[in-house]
Amino acid sequence: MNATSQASEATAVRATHLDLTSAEDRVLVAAFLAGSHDAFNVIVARHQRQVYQICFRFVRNHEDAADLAQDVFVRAFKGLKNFKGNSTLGTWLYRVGVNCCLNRVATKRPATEPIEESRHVDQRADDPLRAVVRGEKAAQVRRAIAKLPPKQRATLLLRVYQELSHEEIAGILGSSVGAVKANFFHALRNLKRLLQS
Amino acid sequence: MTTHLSAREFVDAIEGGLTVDRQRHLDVCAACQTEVETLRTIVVDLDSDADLPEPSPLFWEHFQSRVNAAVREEAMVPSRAAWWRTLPGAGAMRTWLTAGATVAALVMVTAIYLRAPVDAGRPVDAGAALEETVVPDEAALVLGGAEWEFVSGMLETLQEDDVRRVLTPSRNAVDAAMGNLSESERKTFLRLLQAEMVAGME
Repeated sequence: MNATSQASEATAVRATHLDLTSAEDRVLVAAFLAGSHDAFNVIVARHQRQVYQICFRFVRNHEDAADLAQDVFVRAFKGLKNFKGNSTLGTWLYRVGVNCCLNRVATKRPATEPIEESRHVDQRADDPLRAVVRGEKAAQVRRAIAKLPPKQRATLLLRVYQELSHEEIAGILGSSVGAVKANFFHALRNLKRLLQS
Repeated sequence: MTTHLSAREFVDAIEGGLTVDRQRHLDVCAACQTEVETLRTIVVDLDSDADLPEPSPLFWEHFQSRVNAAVREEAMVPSRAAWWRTLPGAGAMRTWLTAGATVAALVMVTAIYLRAPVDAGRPVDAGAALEETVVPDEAALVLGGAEWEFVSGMLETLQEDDVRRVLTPSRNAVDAAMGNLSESERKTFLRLLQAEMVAGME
């Protein structure tokens, strides 16, 4: 192969990659199902933070969150052929992620909060004292959330921290919008009781 | 007098989505107002934990490779027991295969026991009491490599509820399991079991 054709092939590869990075999720899924592993890599790069964050919210330590996030994408790799496009790919990945997390917390409950978490001080506050107080409050909130029933916990995390709509959460959890709102209400009430005790 | 807000309506209230009609109730109901305020306070408290520790940039650089490696590993691990999961009616067949694996294991152990040589050093005494028994060579009771591989491969796929279902006596359990299979599935199962048993005996 001469230099000219090598250069044009490299250009074609770059152009294809650029196309993929700017492609919409449903196009990426179609490309992946047609055999493009690059498309799957773009899916991972695009959604890895969101998946990691929801996993971290459940398990509250980096190692477990990283393992869970990896597991989510491995399941996505195997299960994308079943993605029907009724929801967004992000919502579908959340569903896979939440299921992984719910299975994980059902089998493994951490006894204590990891040290790295308890020392995490909110950097937003200018006043150091306020930062420490806020950090303590955050630790209390985390402990209370960890005691919620799994579906209430999932609903609360998705609504408050991932800022998903009730409709999206209903799709992720396989519930109705009304059930999601009821779960959210009971989660907040239980948190009130836990934070007061 | 209208009823107090429901659970869903409280959520609508704290998120500013209450209907006009129900808002009118909230405006005049102290109890509901108190509840809404309490819920809003909790939501504000939740904000204290909004920030997450961010992993290092190196983590994100390597995460994709990590996922790809895990995907490759999954693809490479041969699933010894998975071949039969793809068969039609595999779900129903699994119960019968589990029973078959247990029976096969018992058959093989019995076969090995019966193959154990008689002690050649002792003269056979025609007049010896019939209750005298030959103690088999202990080593002969250990399953050989291929035999154990067959049994352990089948046993690997067992889940606790399968084992319990098989070992717990239940009326007509085997008949019920067989009854779940179609005629062609039964023939397929028997052919596969025979092939595995032959392979396990070699």
